[in-house]
Amino acid sequence: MTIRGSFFAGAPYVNVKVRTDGVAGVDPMLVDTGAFCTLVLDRDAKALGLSPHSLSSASPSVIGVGGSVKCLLLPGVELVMKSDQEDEVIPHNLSVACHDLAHASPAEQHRIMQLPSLLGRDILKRYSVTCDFVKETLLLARD
Amino acid sequence: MQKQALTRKPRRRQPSRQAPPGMTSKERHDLLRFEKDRVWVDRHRSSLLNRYAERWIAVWDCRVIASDRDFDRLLQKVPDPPHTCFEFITRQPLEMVL
Repeated sequence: MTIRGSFFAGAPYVNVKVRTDGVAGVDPMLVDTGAFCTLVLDRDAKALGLSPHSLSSASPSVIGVGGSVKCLLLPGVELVMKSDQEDEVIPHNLSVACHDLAHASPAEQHRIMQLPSLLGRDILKRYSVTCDFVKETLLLARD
Repeated sequence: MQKQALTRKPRRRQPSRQAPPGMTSKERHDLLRFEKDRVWVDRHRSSLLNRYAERWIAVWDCRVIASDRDFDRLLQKVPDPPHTCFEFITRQPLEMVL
């Protein structure tokens, strides 16, 4: 079973269908082997219609190069990816990063809104990941 | 035997629990269109720069259906944000270290 990703602006992505009772949409996720967990970032959360009020359970904050950010949990999500065989359906409790945009400068808000969602190791560890930057091909395979 | 059958507790009906389904045809269609729109944006970035520099764009079926300098305002302009391809068109791409 192989999932074929794609390159966008020189970076490897997988377009993931995110669905739960109240939410369904497509999230382009940057493949990030440095990320401990899969994370929906602010822009995609807004596009998917996820507001902090719709997320009930608190998740530990996560830290990156830019500092810490509060995360909320969206339980009971299905992440769906198309493959060369059956669709890959992964039940998942999805972390959603919630930057404090209200207290950020307009320039900082603008930068934060450009950050992509991340497909982290909690999902990637299921697969043999082959990423060829020369040919711009990305494959997630498993038996 | 018959008495046993009469006194047996009715078996609780289990909720039908099937294997998680894959995508519906509509979901698959939405995903494929989204992917095509991303490829289209990536390939047409330089021409998009001429018209939409420093603006967010919303792309649907390989067409820019809306644009705005503000992402929240752009969201208000599109009919189906969760399935729309959004991209910020800029001459100075963000250099991210995640």
